[in-house]
Amino acid sequence: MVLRLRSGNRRQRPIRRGSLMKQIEPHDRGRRAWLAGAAALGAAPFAAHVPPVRAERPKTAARIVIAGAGLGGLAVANRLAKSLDGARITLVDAKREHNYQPGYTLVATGVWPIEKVRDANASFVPAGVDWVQESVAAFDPQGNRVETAGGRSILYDYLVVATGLHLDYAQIDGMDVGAIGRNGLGSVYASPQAAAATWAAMDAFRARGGDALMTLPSTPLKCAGAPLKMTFMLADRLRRAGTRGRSSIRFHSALPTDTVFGVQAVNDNVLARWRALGVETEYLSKLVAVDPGARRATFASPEGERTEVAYDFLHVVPPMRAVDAVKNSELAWQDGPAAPGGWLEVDPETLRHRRFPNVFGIGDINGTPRGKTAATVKKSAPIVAANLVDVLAGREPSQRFDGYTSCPLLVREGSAMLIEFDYDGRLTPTLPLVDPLQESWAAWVMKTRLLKPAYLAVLRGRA
Amino acid sequence: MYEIWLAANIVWETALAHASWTVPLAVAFVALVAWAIVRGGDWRRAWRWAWTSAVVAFVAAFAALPSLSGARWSDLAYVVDWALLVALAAAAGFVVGAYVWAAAAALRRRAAPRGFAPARATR
Repeated sequence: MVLRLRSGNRRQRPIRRGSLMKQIEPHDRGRRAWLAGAAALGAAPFAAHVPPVRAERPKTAARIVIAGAGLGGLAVANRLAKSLDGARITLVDAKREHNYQPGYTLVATGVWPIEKVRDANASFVPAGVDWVQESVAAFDPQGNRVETAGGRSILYDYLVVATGLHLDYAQIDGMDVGAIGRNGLGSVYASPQAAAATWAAMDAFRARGGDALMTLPSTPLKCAGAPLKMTFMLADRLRRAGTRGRSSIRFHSALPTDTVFGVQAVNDNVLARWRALGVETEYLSKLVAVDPGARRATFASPEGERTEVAYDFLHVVPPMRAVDAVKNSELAWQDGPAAPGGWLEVDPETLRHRRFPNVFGIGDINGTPRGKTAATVKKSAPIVAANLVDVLAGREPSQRFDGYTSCPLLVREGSAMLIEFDYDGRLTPTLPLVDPLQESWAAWVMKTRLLKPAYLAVLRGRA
Repeated sequence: MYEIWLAANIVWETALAHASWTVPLAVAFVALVAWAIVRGGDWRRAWRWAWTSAVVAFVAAFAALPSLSGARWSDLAYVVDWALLVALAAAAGFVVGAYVWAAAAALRRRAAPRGFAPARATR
């Protein structure tokens, strides 16, 4: 692969990718000096978080394709647009609406109106970035090529995969996303409209009470706290409506006994709270079918034993997997625990593809141990952008991701727990004196008032 | 440092999201300050009005913020909750105090220096 790279006042000349380092060395020295200075001033954390925004922008004519215009894709696009001079950045995504997905649980529980989670992607695409408004149909990493649903073929030198994931409602027989909101059927994940419809169903249910079924599949999930938040908030809504006494809430987890969350300390804390709230639990119980008209759900055990249960309110959490374009490509994990879902095979620390060194991944699509949240993107977008610039310059990726993610776990209206953890499931609170397992109004304010502005700053590549 | 940068971004994005009232408020504040300066406003005497209104705003915000956020007093069960409430109420008090200071200064001119008497009209 031959790239054309401009550096300083030198004349343009084609060079091989491996020799780019020499071209950008002056910039690298400046960066190192800047980092050293920042560290000396006690600003190392700041420097570590915002590496790509520098006074000196390396010149390059590299073609960078970013597949997906969600939070991850736009955050990286904004950072690369600021970091590189002359890079030809192409964003590929058919979706024109931008959704603030961390707000879906607030919409689905009647805290926020739907308008608060809807915006236009065009507002966030940086100047100079070409936006191809088509979805990605296929990846050809051998040919450094992306194919769109409209039949376009886009060549790249570097690729950032930020497609998000696929909500596999089809794995649940009889499930109809269009039926969400009717007959007591709810599901927070599908869309803003589905979240609002879920609140309509929950609102009707809380007025009269009855039997509620909450579900959890065994696949990796985006915002794995959402099913728990929905359960807490349903219990709170029933209590405030005065119908909790004539209602039951049963949580069906497809995971092993006493498991509803991947972090042990949080899991145990949640289960203790549910016992106090009278929330019942079933384990190794996977939702496999639903009959919305008859309000009956069918659960299966690992042995295949099926049980049909009547409900008045059902919250469906779909199994999740990689989007087809990734799952069916060479970019997907070929073996290991992430292979069945077809997740992107990236190194968990550098977020660089393990077999295709000019490919990076960000967000939900990554086949990493855990962390499919906006908080993960917030922490990893600067790392992906910086590492891509490193690789473009012929260096090894310099930034490492620890798997940071965060889950503001709503426990009732007015109170939440701000849980932060890393790949290893260690709790990593940002404020060391604050107990992450202590519910607080401060965490509620953070979730409902502060996180969306922070999200927008991440989206624009500033935070 | 990063947390300070992030907090500044949160304030900026919040102001941007509510630009329909934050921009007019900011313009009004600048106009008030300019008016007070041009008129030779009495900033020192306006200070006590600023303090009084800031304290009133602090108390009002302290009392109202939990319910405005959908919480009950019983939800404030952790020391960080009270610290946040005091900080938010103080911010409200600061903003109201600043406006009232500028407005009161604009409405009160500085007294003339001692020994100075305006010229009498003469026939």
